[in-house]
Amino acid sequence: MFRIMQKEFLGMLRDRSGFVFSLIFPVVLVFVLGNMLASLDNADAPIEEIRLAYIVETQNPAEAAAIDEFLTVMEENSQVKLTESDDFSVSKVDVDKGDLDACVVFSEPFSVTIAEGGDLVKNRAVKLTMQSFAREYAAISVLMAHVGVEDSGSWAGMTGIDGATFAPVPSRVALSMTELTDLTVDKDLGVNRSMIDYYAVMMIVMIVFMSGSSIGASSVYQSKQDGTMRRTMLSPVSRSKYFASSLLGFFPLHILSVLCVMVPSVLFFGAHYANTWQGNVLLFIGLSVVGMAATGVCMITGIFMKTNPFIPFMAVVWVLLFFSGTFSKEIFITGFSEYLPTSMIRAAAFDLTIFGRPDGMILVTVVSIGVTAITAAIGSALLRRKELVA
Amino acid sequence: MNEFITVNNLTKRFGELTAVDNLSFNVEEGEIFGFLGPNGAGKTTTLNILSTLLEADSGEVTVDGLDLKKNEREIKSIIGLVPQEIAFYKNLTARENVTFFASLYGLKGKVLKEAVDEALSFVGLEGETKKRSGKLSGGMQRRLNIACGIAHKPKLIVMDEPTVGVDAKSRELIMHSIRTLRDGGATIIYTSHYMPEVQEICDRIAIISSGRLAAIGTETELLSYVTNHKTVVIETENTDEEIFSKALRILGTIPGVSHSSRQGNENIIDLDVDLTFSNITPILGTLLDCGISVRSIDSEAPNLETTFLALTGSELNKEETPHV
Ligand SMILES: Nc1ncnc2c1ncn2[C@@H]1O[C@H](COP(=O)(O)OP(=O)(O)O)[C@@H](O)[C@H]1O
Ligand SMILES: [Mg+2]
Repeated sequence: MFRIMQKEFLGMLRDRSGFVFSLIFPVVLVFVLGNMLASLDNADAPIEEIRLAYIVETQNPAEAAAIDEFLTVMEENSQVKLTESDDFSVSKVDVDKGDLDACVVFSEPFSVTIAEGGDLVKNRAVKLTMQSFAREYAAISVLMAHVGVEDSGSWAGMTGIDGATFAPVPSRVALSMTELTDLTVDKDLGVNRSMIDYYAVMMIVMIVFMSGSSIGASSVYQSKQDGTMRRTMLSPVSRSKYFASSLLGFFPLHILSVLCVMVPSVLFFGAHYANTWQGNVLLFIGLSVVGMAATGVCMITGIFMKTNPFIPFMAVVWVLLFFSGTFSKEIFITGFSEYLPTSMIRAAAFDLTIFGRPDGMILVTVVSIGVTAITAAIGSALLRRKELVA
Repeated sequence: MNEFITVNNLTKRFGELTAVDNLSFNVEEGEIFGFLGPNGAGKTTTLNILSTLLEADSGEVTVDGLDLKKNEREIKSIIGLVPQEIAFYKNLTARENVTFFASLYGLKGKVLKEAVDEALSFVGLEGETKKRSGKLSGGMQRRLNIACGIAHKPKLIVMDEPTVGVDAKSRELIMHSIRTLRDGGATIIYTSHYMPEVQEICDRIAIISSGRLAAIGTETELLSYVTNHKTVVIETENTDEEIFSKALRILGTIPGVSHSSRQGNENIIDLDVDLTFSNITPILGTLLDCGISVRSIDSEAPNLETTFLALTGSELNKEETPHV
């Protein structure tokens, strides 16, 4: 059993296309994308001026004072042109027309609503500024409570672990923080997120599918072509053992190929996956077994293939990835795309990395293990049909 | 001697084509059994059935006293097949390949390592353990193909044209190793369409044609089937196509002449005649009538090649078809 696994692993590693696809390609992709995104993130030229309208709806004096302070600081920035507005719908029309870049509403309880314009870079700048303000505001509130400054008395003091008195982050601020997070995440990325985090997850999903299918299909096709499968079938080794071991032999390769994205993206581009180590382990294992499921399915189809399956399989995988919006977010057909396995797995992965919700990824892992087991059963049964193998 | 393999009324069809047609024969323990026949005769199909790769449509096969259908597992473990097509992992080294295939037969640890060493040195590849197998020369690949099939020390070794496309040195080595295997107690089925090889090493020979058994026996036995035939070779001065075909037609009607043919486009005529045929006057008369002048007449004693021709009516591939 171990010999079969070892043979598959070694064989694939020494096979040029297998090696390139599962190990070289991911690393190259990380570096290309990483550098591309880094230059995108560092772009300072495009922003010349941000025309920003603001509406302060909040009546709370402490909050109003903080907002005031913040706006003053903003005004000192020569790039930002601030105008006060009193009608959100009017300003929103201006934003839509392009006369304004964005309109920000500070409301009570503390929350910030942003009406975005069409310039993505400016949107990002505004969003980041607002996020940092919200965070800072929360911190200032804590500090104020800590030194005994009471505002309208809405925050209760609390005895901390060491008996020191400090105020927790006011619940309403905390709430609005999560709201803000949701708001921004919905549109693009989470707090503290950069593009590489987003693309790295996409890349792993893409790579486990691509290398998974190419490895599976070509290994079976090859061993049929070069007669090694028949030779193996001559031996008293059971078909199920042979198929299962071959499949398992690819597991280390999937692990390596996921690592080939995760490690360099973290080391060289500061990518950020799940927030906890458990989350990262889950992500890592889950995506590796997704690769196994893909390999299993493609090994079965490889048994029937009369021509080299590499090209048709790549085509299928690219179509899958294409319609699940991997290459462009615009190509996403609601009611169809989200049911593609690639989309569902990616959604589960984002759920874990950005929102810290592991349920989706756990489901993906369990389903993938199930699919892998089922393909092993089907594959062994197929190999028992002599006409197919000989 | 014990019968190691018995084959009774074996039939295998591929759609319309009957590749193996009601074939029956026995192989005795410890012999080298030759399987001779032209391309497409059904040799490989028969061997694939014997080695459990294919299922027969009908007929019974026993190997070492075991029924092939009921004891597939046991039979698999005592057979080593050297397939007609080279079959090993091109990306693995010779040693890795032999180790892998031998391990499928349950060999482990020291026993496995020794068996691999033995198989590699047996085919003269003990020095080639670093290179990837795909990079070895054609002859070496052939030899590795053999090593992969015999490392687990099978009682029955089935070789399907193991010398196709090898150099003289490798062929010599392979021939020698087959004898050594036999002397070590293995039973060997050897397939070829290269006559001298079969003549050289086989204890008994079965000749098959179109899936049917044409003859079986030792070389001497086979020759005795056709000792009433010999070949007369006539060299002529002429090469004219029309004259030749007319002469061949008339020659075929002479009593005692069973077959007449021209060697390609050469000015040579082959005649299969009864062994008792000694009066060449009608032959010379016919040739003279047709306007063919004779340069020489020669008579050849029967050999396996002519035997084969007489038995099957078809010619063996004279030259070796190079393998792709
Ligand atoms: N899998 C197959 N499907 C259809 N026809 C086959 C198959 N294998 C062999 N044949 C046919 O059966 C006949 C015998 O083939 P084979 O046993 O390979 O002959 P040999 O080994 O004597 O050259 C040939 O006509 C061949 O084309
Ligand atoms: Mg053959």
